[in-house]
Amino acid sequence: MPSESQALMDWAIRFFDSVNAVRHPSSPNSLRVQLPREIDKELTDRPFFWMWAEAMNENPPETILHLQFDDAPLPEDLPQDVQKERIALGCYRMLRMEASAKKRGAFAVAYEQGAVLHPYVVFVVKISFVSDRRIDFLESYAISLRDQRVYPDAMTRLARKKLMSSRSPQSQIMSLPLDVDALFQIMFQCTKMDISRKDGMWAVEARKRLTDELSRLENYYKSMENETLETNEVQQKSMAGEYELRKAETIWRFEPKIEVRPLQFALVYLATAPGP
Amino acid sequence: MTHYIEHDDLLSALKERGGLPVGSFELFQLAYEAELRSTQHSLDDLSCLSVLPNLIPFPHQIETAKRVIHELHGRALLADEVGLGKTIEAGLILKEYIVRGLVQKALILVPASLVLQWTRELNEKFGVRAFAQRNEWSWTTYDVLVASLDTTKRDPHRAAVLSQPYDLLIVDEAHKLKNSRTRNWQLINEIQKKYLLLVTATPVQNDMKELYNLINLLRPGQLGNPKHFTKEHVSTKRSPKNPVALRHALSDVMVRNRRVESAVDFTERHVKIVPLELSTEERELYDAVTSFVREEFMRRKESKRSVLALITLQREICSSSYAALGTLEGMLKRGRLTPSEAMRVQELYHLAEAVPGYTKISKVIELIKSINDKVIVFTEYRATQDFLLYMLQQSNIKAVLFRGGYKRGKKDWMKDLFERRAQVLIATEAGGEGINLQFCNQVINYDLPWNPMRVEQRIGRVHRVGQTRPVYIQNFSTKGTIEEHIVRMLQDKIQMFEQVIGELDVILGPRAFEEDVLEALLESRDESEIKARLNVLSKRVKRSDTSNHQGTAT
Repeated sequence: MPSESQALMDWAIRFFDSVNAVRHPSSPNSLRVQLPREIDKELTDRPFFWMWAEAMNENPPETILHLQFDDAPLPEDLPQDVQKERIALGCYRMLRMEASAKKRGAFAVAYEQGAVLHPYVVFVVKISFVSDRRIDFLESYAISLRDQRVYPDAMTRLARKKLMSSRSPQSQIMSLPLDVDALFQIMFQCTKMDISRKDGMWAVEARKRLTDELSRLENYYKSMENETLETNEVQQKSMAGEYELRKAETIWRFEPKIEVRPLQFALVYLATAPGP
Repeated sequence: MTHYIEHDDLLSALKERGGLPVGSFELFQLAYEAELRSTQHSLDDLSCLSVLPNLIPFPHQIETAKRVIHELHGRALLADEVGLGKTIEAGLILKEYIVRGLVQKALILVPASLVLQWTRELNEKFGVRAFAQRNEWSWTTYDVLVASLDTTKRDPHRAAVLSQPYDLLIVDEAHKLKNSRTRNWQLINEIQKKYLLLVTATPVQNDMKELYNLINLLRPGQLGNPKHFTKEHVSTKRSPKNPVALRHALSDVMVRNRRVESAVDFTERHVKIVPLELSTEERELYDAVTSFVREEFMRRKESKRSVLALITLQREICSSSYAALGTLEGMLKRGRLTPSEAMRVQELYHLAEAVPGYTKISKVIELIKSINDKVIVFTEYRATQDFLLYMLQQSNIKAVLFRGGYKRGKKDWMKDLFERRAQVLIATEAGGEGINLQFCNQVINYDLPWNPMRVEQRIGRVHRVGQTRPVYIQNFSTKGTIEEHIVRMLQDKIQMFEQVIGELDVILGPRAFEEDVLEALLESRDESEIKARLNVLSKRVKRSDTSNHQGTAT
């Protein structure tokens, strides 16, 4: 199996384990999972079915999925209640699994092992440069609650640590107040600094395109105004309306925008500062 | 100054939880990895290619999608020649914009017969959750909606569509927007949209103005105002002043891939002329109709009366006497003929009625029986189509009809019937539009359109991406008739059937071409003059094609 498919399957295994789906034995390069009700609702779009089941007090059996990650033919001899499908990046099921992970993984608390643990908050932020095209940067920052020191590229740094979802009884936590508004302000300051370091040529080009397009529109509609001078007022009004619409569309399409979207927020207690 | 937007959804969600970020760090990590996968790291790549497990696009389709997104900035006329997969190109562009988060709300307007096909392809090939429009609620319920243009232009649907902005609007078979005075054109002009794709293989059909109208939807002023356009670009209604200059102006808004230049490995075309000798009665009828049409044509042209019925009659008589009966009857019933004209028409009607056998019909039955595979028989006329169906049924050949006027469901049904049950599909041109019939590789042109582009549209139904077998085309040619000249011109002079003509339709509208052909046929005094005039026409076609090649190169 190609390494990309293997990586996808590894991710899927971790996802299903994290949401407590029961894994059944399966052939190589495939997964067979029994979905808890709440996960089933997130992975398959059938709100009316669930509405009906709940209204009628029905208790449908849990869905079992057979997910195949390689190109081998899907098995023919599966039990009737097992739904089989091939999984690749971008397929519907994969998108739903990712959406579920993003929804469930927006917030977290984690602990490192150690005698004394200091609190840090971790932000994952998407910065997007948008005009008629788009480029994204996924940034992560860890901010120490003790001294507000900021550690960029936090997710890479944290990947080198062993983090657990519960605190070891031997660990002592240095508790500090969590002022989320102030922390968000610090994070936005960080993104601004990051943005200022990036190449801004895209925005200059987009702005130029916008100006050129608007001036072409202006010339065109002015020339049309002269053409329609002898025609009736209604026609002129409709032309003016059309001009306004085209202008708005052009700005919508070309105006350079920077969007900063915080996506995830975690509180992590670390024995030592996030590493290099 | 760049617009700067900070989103606060995460902060609000956190506050709703009392400021406590409770949750599993493993899921946090998984979410981060998923986000990383969907992050657009580059401006220039086509990111969607890695998330299309059910599609391997051709190189020209990928190039087109890149060009539309990166160079044409999302507003373009996709005008590839028939059979190169314009739908795939439009789908790629839509998917790329969705993946990049630039399109959420998209509307795809198509002929009614293609709504289900588009919806299915977007779901199956592109993993785009597209829905077919069914009722008034559809407009606001779904993000990606496929709807019929004809339904959409009527209220209450029109009002619903105009009340909301669309990130992307795609119009398939966009030649239906050629006239800026129509409700079709006005609807598209009024819709609020960021990106716009117009998809058609024939951006010009009758008049250069049609091209102007399409381009103005995409980018008003690209070709100047109407006066400027006429002054700078129009030589005659049907030909540009300077094809290279026009081509240059179009390159900012139009992509046109040619079959000969694409890397698509099309299967071979085998073309055969099927010469037919008319029976004595058919010959008598043909000669009588032709001499009537020729005399009337000159007379009416002098007195500036309409020659439309005559043109139709002359063309029908090449198809079948059955087809001509309807027109002759119509001429009589309308009562606009002088008494002597009426008498002649009456005579022709009786002659047509008295034809005892049909050479073409017998031949088509013989061919279909010998082919022993699926066959598409094309005709221009509905009367011929009905008659053919009847005669095939008499010979125990299962056939189904296909027409432009059929509703969406009926077209799908007929296509299915042809694929599963029937041996023959009898189609008129309009019926063939947008339908893909790659499972069939046998085409019989029972009669021929008098222009090359429409012939190419016919063949393009089967000779396209996805056809795995060689395509066999048989053209009926009745000796000593206009048809013989037409077949010869299309086949020998323009080499229509074996090498595809490129940009002809941009330069030369089909209708205009037909008129020129007819004039050549009716105004000539003898066979040699007909030949000479058609020769000139063929050369003009070749010349315009060559000049476009040069335009591409510069």
